[in-house]
This record gives sequence, C-alpha cells and structure tokens, in this order.
Amino acid sequence: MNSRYVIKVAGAAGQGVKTSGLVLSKALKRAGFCNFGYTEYPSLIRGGHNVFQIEISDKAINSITKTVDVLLVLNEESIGLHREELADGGIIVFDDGAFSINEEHAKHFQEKKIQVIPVELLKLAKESGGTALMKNTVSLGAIWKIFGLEITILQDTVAGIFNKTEDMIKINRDAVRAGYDSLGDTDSYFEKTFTPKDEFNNHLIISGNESTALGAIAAGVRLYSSYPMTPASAILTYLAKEGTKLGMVVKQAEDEITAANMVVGASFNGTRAMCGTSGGGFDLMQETFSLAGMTETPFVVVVGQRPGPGTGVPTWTAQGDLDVVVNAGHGEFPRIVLAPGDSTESFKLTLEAHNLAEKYQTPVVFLTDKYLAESFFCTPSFVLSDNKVDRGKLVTGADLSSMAKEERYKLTNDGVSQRWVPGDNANTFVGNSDEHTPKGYSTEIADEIQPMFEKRMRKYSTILSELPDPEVFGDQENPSICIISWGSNKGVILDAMAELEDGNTPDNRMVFVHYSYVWPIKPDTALEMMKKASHTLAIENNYGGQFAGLFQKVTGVQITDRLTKYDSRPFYLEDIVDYLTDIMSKK
Amino acid sequence: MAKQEQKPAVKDFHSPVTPTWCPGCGDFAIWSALKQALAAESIGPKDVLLCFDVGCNSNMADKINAYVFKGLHGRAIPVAIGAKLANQGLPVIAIGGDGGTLDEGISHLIHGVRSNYNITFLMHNNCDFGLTTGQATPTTWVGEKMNTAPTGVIENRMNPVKLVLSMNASFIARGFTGNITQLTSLIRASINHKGFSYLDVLQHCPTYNHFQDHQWLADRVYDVTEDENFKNDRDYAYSISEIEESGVATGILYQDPESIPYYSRLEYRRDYQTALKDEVKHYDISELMNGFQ
Repeated sequence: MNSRYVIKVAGAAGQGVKTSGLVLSKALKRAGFCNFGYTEYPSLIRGGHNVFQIEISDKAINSITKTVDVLLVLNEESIGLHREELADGGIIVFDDGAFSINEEHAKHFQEKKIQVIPVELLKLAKESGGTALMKNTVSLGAIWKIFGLEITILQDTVAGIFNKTEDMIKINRDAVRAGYDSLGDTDSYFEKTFTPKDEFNNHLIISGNESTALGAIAAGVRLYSSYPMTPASAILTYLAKEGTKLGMVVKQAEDEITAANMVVGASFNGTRAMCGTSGGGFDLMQETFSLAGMTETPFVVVVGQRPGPGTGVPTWTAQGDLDVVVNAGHGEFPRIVLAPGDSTESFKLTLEAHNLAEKYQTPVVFLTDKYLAESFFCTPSFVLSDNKVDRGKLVTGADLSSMAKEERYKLTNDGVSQRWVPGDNANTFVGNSDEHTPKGYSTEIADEIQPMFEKRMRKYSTILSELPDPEVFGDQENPSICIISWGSNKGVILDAMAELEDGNTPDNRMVFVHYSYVWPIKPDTALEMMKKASHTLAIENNYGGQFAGLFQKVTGVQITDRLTKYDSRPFYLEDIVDYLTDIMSKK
Repeated sequence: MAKQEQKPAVKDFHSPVTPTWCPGCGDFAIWSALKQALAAESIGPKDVLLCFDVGCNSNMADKINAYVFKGLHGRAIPVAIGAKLANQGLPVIAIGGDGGTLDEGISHLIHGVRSNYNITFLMHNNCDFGLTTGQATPTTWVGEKMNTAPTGVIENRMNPVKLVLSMNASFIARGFTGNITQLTSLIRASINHKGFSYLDVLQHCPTYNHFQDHQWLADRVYDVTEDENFKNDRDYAYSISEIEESGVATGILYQDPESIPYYSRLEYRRDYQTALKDEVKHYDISELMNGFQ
C-alpha cells in the first residue's frame, strides 16, 4: 500500500522479537508516525517462530497488510518463511555472523531488487560494551537508519525501557549508535516520504488487553479472578502487577468455574468484579453465567476469542464465539454482549460493561479476540473526564431501612428491582438459583413463576430502549455499498474505505455500520443504510457469518453477501480492499 | 464483625417457609444448631451471609431468615470466597453436602482449604444423594446397594477429613446431628477461627442411608476432649480420622493457632481499612496511561 511502510521483525521465540517490536513502535510514534503492531507466535515458549509486524503511516491506521518493506531476520529460518512477503525493492536486514544468506535466497533477492543489508549484530553489541542480549538494540539502530530518522529519539526510547543502571543506559545508547552507523552515509532507501506529525507524539502504544485492564481499574473493579488462557491472560498479568498497587484483589483461580463463581459472590456482596477467559474457559463458566441471570447478579466476563472448536489454534484469532455468548447458559434470561472495535473502545466499553451489568442486574459479555487483544494500537490518550460509575438501583444509606424483603425481586415495569447487599441494615432476602418469589423464596407455583420470568425478560426491552445505536461511518446520505460488521474488524474496514477513497474508483460511496453493542441487536440504523445502498455485505472473521445470522433472526432480513474468514488470521487490508473493488467493478 | 445492637435471639432467624425434609432428617439438627450458634455469637440475620449449593441441605436456604445466596450444586465455596473478599467484616458460611462437595465441587474444597480463605464451610455428610433419591456419594460405604449401584458400590470410600488434613487445613472439626449442643459449639468455633474452617457433620438420612444411621453413629461417637491421649496435632488428627467400628472421633480434630487467612497474606491490602465493597468508584488511571506513551 502506498500509504504505509511495513517492518517485520522475525525470529525464534525467546529472541526478543516482541520486545524489539514494541521499542520500535514507541520510538516511531515519538518520531511522529502512527503505527500498528501485530504479533504472531505459536503456542509454545521457546524455539517456535515469532513475528512482530509494524505498519507505519503519517495518518491514523489500524490494520495490517500483506507486503513487507523492511524485514529484520534474527534467525536463518525466517528468511525462507518471509522472503515472499518482501516488496520488490524492499530491504532485508540480517544477523551477519550468526548465519548467512544462501545462494538461492540471494538470487531471489537480486531478481526482486531487494537490498540485502548484513549487520554484524554480535560484534557491534560487544564493541558497544554489551553482551549478546544487546544484539536486538543494534538491529533497531540499523532499521532506524534505513528510515533516516533522528537517532536520539530511538536512543531515548531504548534508554527509557532498559534503564536499570547508568551503565546499561549507556551501553544501549551506544548499541543503537553502532547499528545506525554500520549502514554508512546512505540516507535514501525509499521513495515514499512521510511527514511526521506532532499529534502522534503523545499517543499511547497500547494493546486491547491493556486497554481493557485499564478500563477495569478505572471502572472500580476491585476483584479480578481468572484462570490463564490465551488471549485473555495478559489482562490477569497486567492487573496482578498494576491493579494490586491500587488495592485490587487479583486472584489466579484454580479453574474458570471458580473464577466465575467468585465474581458472582463478590458482586452479590456489593463490589465490582470481573473474570476473563477464552471460549473453552467460557464453556465451563456457562452454568454460572446462567446463575447470574437467575439471581440478577451483575456479572462481567471478558471472552477473548481464538479459533475453535476444541483447543483450536490457541494463539491465533477468530470471531467464532458470538453465537456461544449470545446463547450461553441454560434457560432463558437477558444478557448484553459488547465487542470493542479497537483499544479506545476496549477501554470505554469495559467501564460501560460494569455500568450496564449493575444497571440491568444481568450478565454482560465483553467479547474480544486475539487480534484485538494482543495487537498494539497507536491511539490518543483515553478521555477520563466523562467516565462515570453508575451503580443502577443499588440502595444505600438511609433508604435501606425502608427496604422490605419483597423489594429485592419486585415485579417492576422495567424488569429491574432495587438491590442491596448482605450486611446492609435492611430486610434480608434470598439470592436464589431456584425460581423464586419477590422475596427470593423458592417456588414451583405457575402463577408465581410466569410473572417472575416475564419480569426478568422485560429487561430486554429496557436495555434496547437505552442502548446506543451502532456507529456509522462513511456516506450515510447516498451510499452505494453498505458494510455491516462488528468488533475488531472496525480498523481494517475503515482503513480499506480510506484506501479506496484515495484511489480513482468510480462507485465508491460506502457506508459502514459498526456494531460494538452486539447483543441485543438494535437493527434500525443498519436497516436504514441497507435500504439506501444498492449492495450490502457483512464482514466477519468466522465461518458461518454469525452476526448476519443473528441479524436475520431479529429482523427477518438476510444479508446474503458475506465476506468471512476462518483461517485463524485476521483480515488483511488487501482482503477488504480487493473484495470491495470487485463489488464496485461489477456495478 | 458487625454485630446487632440488641443481642439477637434464635427466633430472629425464623422464616415463614416450612421445612420440607423427611421426618427424622439430620438437617433439622443442623438447622437448629446453626441458628443457635449465630445467636450465641451475637450475629443477627443481617450480619451474616449464608451460601448454599443445591441438595437437601440447601433446601434450608429460604427456611432461615438471614442474607442468603443459593447457588449451584457443589459450588457454595467459590461464591462464599468471592463474597468474603468483597467484605472481610461479614461472617460468611458456606453450606454443602457430601455429594456436591466431594464430586463436582471437590476442587473448590481443595483450593479453598489450600488458600485458607476466612470462611466457614459446613458439610452435611449423610453418605448419599437425598434430593435425587438415593444415589451413592464418595462417602457411601463400599458394597452398599444404592439406586445407581444395585449390586453395591464398588468404588473406594473417601474420607474428606483425611483429604483436608493432607491439604494442611487450618481448622478441622467433626460434628454429629445427634448432639446439637456439641454441634452448636463447633459452628461457633468455626465462625471464630481465622482461616478456612472445615466442619464435617455426620448426619442421619432416614430415607436412604441404612448403613451409617443415627443409631450406628450414636453408639460410636465420642468427643476428642474425652480422649486422654488427644493432642492438637495434624498427625494425631490423621490417626483418629477414620469412621470405624471402634469409634468415631468428633469435636475439633485440629486447629492451627497460627493460621493466617488468605486476605491477611495480601501485602498490597495491608494498609486498607475499607472493604472492597466500599471501594467502588472511578479510579484515575492517568499515571498508568503514561506508561504506554
């Protein structure tokens, strides 16, 4: 794509690929370039192949592309694995001394006019006073030189991260310099020129998981309980390190069932709590999910999707669990599903998830995926001023003394009753997994069961009347193509729309309806846009077109054109651009 | 611990819902002892959370006036620990049966003991599934004919007291539904213990348990205080943990006087005087955000 540069760092697990990528990502941002970081790694700790890909632009971007401009290979295997991704006229930087480029590869690079740049990483690291550990720092210096960027920015970034001792800071700065200088005086490697922009200087480089963790802290979550499972584990790790400093109790539970039941208990007893897992772990939580629905206990669970069924492809991505969460748990009860589209939405919607769970006293699923959870977004600092903690109909203070038992599960018009917690100076009640009366007493009487059932289900109409409509991007007045999608596809779709507007495509009036409040579905905006457009398609990272299926169930309207993907990879920008171009060409 | 201004009476725990247990069921004794213990500890209905699971035992949930949560089969413990973490000042008592606890919920018991959360766990141990009409549990005797084992149970019998002892439980007591006075004092001691209190209550099930019935137990139980060799020691507790022809030990089998509960081990909570439930508000994350710049 003309609008961006792509750097790929590739090597074996344990070679520091991700750390290098993140340093580069931060430094590029500080140099005034927006960038998007994407990781690939297998489900093992050492010896597997790791990749960190950075997309760079002087405009805001949130997606990945297929072609690489600069490939940094830290081991020999990476050459063969990635050489076909290199653009004609691209650059490969390799660890000279550790391995060499064989004849067959050399011939390929020559044919494609790919520049091969050897850098003696170990030698330069040692000359800078460092050990083999400093090889990556040297390589970053070399890449920095390729882009002709101001060296002090990278030096400062590296020094800010590896800052344990003065010695370490100096060696790292010198190692950057050594890599930088090793490329000599040449300063024009590429024709594309980008203008750095100050607006990116203070942006965050932050993953979806980290944004969710910050959202949880900000929302006043005081207990996080979770069993490790990719791709949700990083929330647990981050909160164990940073959340606890603010007094949040963070518990690695013995299984997902425990994690979920702890959330129910903590929430029932008046605090905010959350658990996080992936599809398999959520399967185990479903009985508890249903319990939260029955006892009307606020409940928030993060489900980070990865490809299934079974163990699936554990460290890769998919949007295949929407049907599961929308239908989760035995019996019928209302639930809300939120699926953030990027890091900013991850932050905001985590706060929102807790407000909704308390407001409607029902379970909320926060549905992410590996691509969103573990990709690094370059995003403005989160706005904190408009965050509010809404505890819904939680009764406190003097009002407690007037609470009769039957207020707790009173049959209300909006389906939500007043709530108070054990230890409060009010009348006691039973939070009951059995069907119950307004006081919480178990019942098997038909005339008591039906109205209580209807009370809970009435929450759906209340929720629908209060949830925001989906966000709409593009030409809302006169669109020719209407794109319906949800969750993490937001960035790549917006980038594709921008890419096509930049081109000279004749019929490119597009509108994109982005659902982050995925369930219950508010269909009106989408239906209106679909009516205006001559062509509608749904884009989903799953096999069945699950959102389109739910949309049809709710509206009776079928979206027949579905761009789906289920090879465990996220959508690349080219996937969307090519598909849309094809639709336009047929018009 | 929040206590009522006026000393609560046993009748304060009265619920208008009538018990549904079989005549002669040991659950009546546990029900009675629980109410007496709470009143004796000056814990009123508003000052306690009782977490039940599902089974005959948990049909007590709406037959006692208190703050109650009735959850899932075998899963009273994780709800109770979540609740306790939210409000350390509130006494939390989890109540389950031998079926749910030792089958589906066994990991909750093991890790509850291991983590030493400051809760009481009272296990109704009647050696059978009552509510589902007489199936075997892990504590049913080998060879007993149960409705899903018509030719007799062939699996080994589990001894939950030994199990929790092996996990270094900080409080292990055993009661008997034929002795409400002793049971009341054991519940009180469980509530007052700092850490995970495991209270195993041997109980009569008049409908399905015809092997270890009330009389069988009554003929064999003794209180450890009657044992002149008794010492508060895990090894000794282990040696008297079996339910045997020769005698069944009851009372506090072991209590760790140095027990430090989970919450007190959280260094990062040391300076907090408040409970998690009182700390729900918007937290400023500006500084954390700077780390991502």
